[in-house]
Amino acid sequence: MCDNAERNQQLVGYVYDELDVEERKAFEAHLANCGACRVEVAGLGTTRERMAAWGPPDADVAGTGLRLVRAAEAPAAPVQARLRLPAWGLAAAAALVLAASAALANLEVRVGSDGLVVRTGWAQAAAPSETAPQVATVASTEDAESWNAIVAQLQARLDELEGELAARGMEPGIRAAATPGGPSDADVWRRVREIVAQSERRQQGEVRALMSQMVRELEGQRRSDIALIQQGMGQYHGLTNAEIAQQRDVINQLVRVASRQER
Amino acid sequence: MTTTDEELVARSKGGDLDSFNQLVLRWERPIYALAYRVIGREEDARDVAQETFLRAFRALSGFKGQAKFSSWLYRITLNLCRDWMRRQRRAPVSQAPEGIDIIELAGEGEPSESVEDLIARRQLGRAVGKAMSLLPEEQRTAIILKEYHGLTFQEIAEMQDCPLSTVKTRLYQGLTVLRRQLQDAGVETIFGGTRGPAHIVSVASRKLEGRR
Repeated sequence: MCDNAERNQQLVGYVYDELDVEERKAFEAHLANCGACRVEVAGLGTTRERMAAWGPPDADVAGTGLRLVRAAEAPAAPVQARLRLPAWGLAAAAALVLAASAALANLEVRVGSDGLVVRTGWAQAAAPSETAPQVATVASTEDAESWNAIVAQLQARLDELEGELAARGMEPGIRAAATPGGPSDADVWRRVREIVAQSERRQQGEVRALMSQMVRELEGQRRSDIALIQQGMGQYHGLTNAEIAQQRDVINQLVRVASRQER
Repeated sequence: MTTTDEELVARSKGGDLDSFNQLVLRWERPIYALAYRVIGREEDARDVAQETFLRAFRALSGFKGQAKFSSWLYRITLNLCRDWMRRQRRAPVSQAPEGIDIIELAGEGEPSESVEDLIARRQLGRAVGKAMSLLPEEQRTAIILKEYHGLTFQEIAEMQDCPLSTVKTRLYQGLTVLRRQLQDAGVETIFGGTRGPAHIVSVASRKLEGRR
C-alpha cells in the first residue's frame, strides 16, 4: 500500500485529472505496478459516481427570486423589516423581483383556436431532458383573478413604500448617509421604480397567465405522478395476486403430496 | 452569443439592473445548491442564496475582477454558510425525511427511470448526504467545490486560504472516508441483493416437483 502523503496527492490529482502530462505519465507507470493504487483509484471513481446522487431537492431549486416575490405578498413583518434597508438594498430586492418576472416573462403566449396557449421558459429550463416543450391550454380562470388581486396588492405596497421613502428622503441625515459619489437613495429608488413600472406594464398580463399556467402545470404534474404511482402500485398488486395464486398452488400440492403419503 | 459574467458585471456597475438580473438567473441555482450541500437544510440554504445576491449587489462596486465573478459569489456564500453554522453551533444535519415520499419521488426522476431506480437513487443520495455531513467542514467544502462545482485545486486553495497541498490532502482524506462509509452503508444491495417471494415460491415448487 502506498500510504505516503505525496502519493495520495498524486492520486487525487489523477482522479480529478489535474496532473500535468509528465506527472500523469509517471503516475500511470506506477499504477501499472501497484495493485493497491489501482484498487484505490477504482474505489474513488465508484465513490464519485455515487456522490452524483446527492443534491438539493429538484422541486425546490425554483430560485431565490421567486421567494422574494412571495415575501412581498405577505404584508406583515418582513416588509416592515425591509423598509429599514438602505435604498441600495431595496434596489437589490427589486432587482431580484425583476429577475423573477424576467424568468416568468421567458414565455410564449399565443391565442389560437384552442384558447390561450402558453409555453414557459422555466419549464424548458427546468426539464431540459424533455423533447417536447411543455404546451398547455389555459382558459381565463379564477387563478388569473387571484393573481390579479396580488398584483394589485403589490402595486399598492410599492406605492406605500415609495411614499415612505420619499418622506425619509426629506430628512437631511438620510441624504448625507448616501454613498458619496454614487447616486442618492432617491435617485436609485426612482430608477428602480421606473424599471419596475415599465416591466410591470409589459408583463402584467403575461405574468398572470403564467401564474395560472404554473398552477395548472403543477396540478397536471401531480395528477400524472399519482397516475404513475397508481399504475406502479397496480403492477405490484398484480404481482402479489399472482404470487398468492402461486402460493396457493404450492400449498395445494403440499396437501396432495401429504395426503398421498398418508395413504 | 452569450454575454460573459464580466460584461454583465461591468454593465451592472454602470447601473444596468437588467444585467444584474441576468447574473442572478445564471447563478441562483448553483449558489443555492452550494449552500444546500454545505449546510444541509433547504430553507436556510434558500435564505443564504438570497442573502448572497443581496450582498453581492451591495458590494458590486468593490468587486475589481481579481477573481472570477462566480468565485467571488461562492466566497460570499461560503462566508454566509460559516456564519450560519456558527449560529447553529452544531454539525449540519441533512434534513432528508425518514420515509420516502413516493409522490415527490415520482416527480423528480427522468421519465425513463423506474420507481425502483428512483428509490435506490434517493436512498443513495441520502447516504451520501449523511456521510458528507459527518466530514470536517474544510474537507466537506473542498469536496463540494471540486465534485459539484468543478473548481480547480488552485481555486479551492484561494477560497479556503490554504496551500494547494492542503486542498489535495483534504480531498483525499474526505473521499477516502466517504468511500468507506458508502461501502459500509451497503448501498448496492438495496435492491439487487434481495430476492422476492416469487423466487422463493418457484424454488419451493421446483423442489416439490422433483420429489414427486
